[in-house]
Amino acid sequence: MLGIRKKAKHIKRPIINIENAPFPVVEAYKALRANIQFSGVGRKVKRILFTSSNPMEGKTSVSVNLAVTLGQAGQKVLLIDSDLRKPRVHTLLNMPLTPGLTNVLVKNYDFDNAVKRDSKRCIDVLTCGPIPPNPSEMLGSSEMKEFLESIEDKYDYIIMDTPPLLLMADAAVLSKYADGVVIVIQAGVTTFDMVKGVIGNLQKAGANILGCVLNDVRMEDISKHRYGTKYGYYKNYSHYYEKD
Amino acid sequence: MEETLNLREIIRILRQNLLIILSVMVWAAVLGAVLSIYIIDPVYEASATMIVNKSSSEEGQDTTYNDILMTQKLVKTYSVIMQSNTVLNRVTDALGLDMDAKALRNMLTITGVNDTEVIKITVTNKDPELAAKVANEIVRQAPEEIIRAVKAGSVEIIDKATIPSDPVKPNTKMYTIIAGVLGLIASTFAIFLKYYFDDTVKTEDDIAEKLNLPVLGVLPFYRPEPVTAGRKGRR
Repeated sequence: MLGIRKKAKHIKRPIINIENAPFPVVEAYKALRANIQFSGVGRKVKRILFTSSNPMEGKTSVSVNLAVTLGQAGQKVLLIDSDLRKPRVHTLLNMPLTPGLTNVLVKNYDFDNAVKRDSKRCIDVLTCGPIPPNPSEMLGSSEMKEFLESIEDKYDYIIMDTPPLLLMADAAVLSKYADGVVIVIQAGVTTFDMVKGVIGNLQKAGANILGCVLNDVRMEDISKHRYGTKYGYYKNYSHYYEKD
Repeated sequence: MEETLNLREIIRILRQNLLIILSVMVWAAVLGAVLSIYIIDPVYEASATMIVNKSSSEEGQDTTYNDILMTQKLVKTYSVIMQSNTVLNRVTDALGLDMDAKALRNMLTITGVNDTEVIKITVTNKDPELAAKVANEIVRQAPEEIIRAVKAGSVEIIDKATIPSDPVKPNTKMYTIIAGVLGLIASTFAIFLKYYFDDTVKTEDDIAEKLNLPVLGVLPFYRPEPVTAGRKGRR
């Protein structure tokens, strides 16, 4: 293949279907879940916001898949699509866009009526709702703050998907209501300067940056690089996990 | 950029791109071979040798260092005479060539053989027969002029030029090797240039090293076949 990699940037990332996903993918999400859970030791990390520097880096798929993985571990998880500009959570999960977050914020829906239960994946989902003309103001409003506080006791984790931070300030605005922010980095696409820009914006907003997730790492890079032994070991036993 | 590539990274980059580098090298070599075989016109070289005897008065003396210097100077002198318009015009007239003395001079190289008094006349041309003919005609016409001009004793022809069978240029083997080496250098350079200007985050180590950011997860690239119909058709 001469080292030229197929550009697959715009192919939809899938939701992890635990029955069909390859073992290393599921395992990677479990490791991410464990790290998220560990970061909550000694401090409250319940409302977690996912953002990235640019579109298509994997914010939505990472937040959805992490929510699903947390749900599978028996955690009570709410996934909020707070990307009020280009919401995608509902398309990934095959749900209607409305009613959603914006309906709840303008109080024409109760949270209990707006939230959708994905019983197969064991998560609650609040989709975006009708797209508003003023997303930043809505996310930074006191209604948003009150809403998040009102539902906090019902869940172990509240995962929020947001627009890319270098294009829109929404994530920075919302970060003041989140306990922690996770930056999604797409390997081979996101540059260091972009990540530094995101970190700078979040720090200015006073956000608590939990860390980052490196997405779309090629398997051959992982196995050749640091994880040679780790995944190499698993590779030998992966037939135990393969299900066709 | 203050960052430098360390040795391990260089080896990693080279190993990852080994196939590209090698294939570029092979293609360049093939191109060089094709170019030298089919595109570039072959050039033939014919040479004749002759010796000039000095006048008899100096014979019998021991050879001194001065004599050697003298010999080299004389070879130069003879070569100028042989390249003179007088000699070359006679050659073109004798052979009935449709070229002037200047064109003929460009085909001509005259050298002394290893500090001896032997003079080698080399003619290069696309036509092997013509090259040999010109070389032979020069050694036929030159003596008269040399004897007249420098009052030399005599001029003897040692070897007559023969019609060369193999071209001297292009040297297919050399062209192929040079093209291959150029391809190797160019592709390696291009790959390192690409890596040098590539500012994207690639590995977990990159993040730890340059961003001081905890890495919570490393997710593998995973895109199964699109499930939704129609999406695939549009691509």
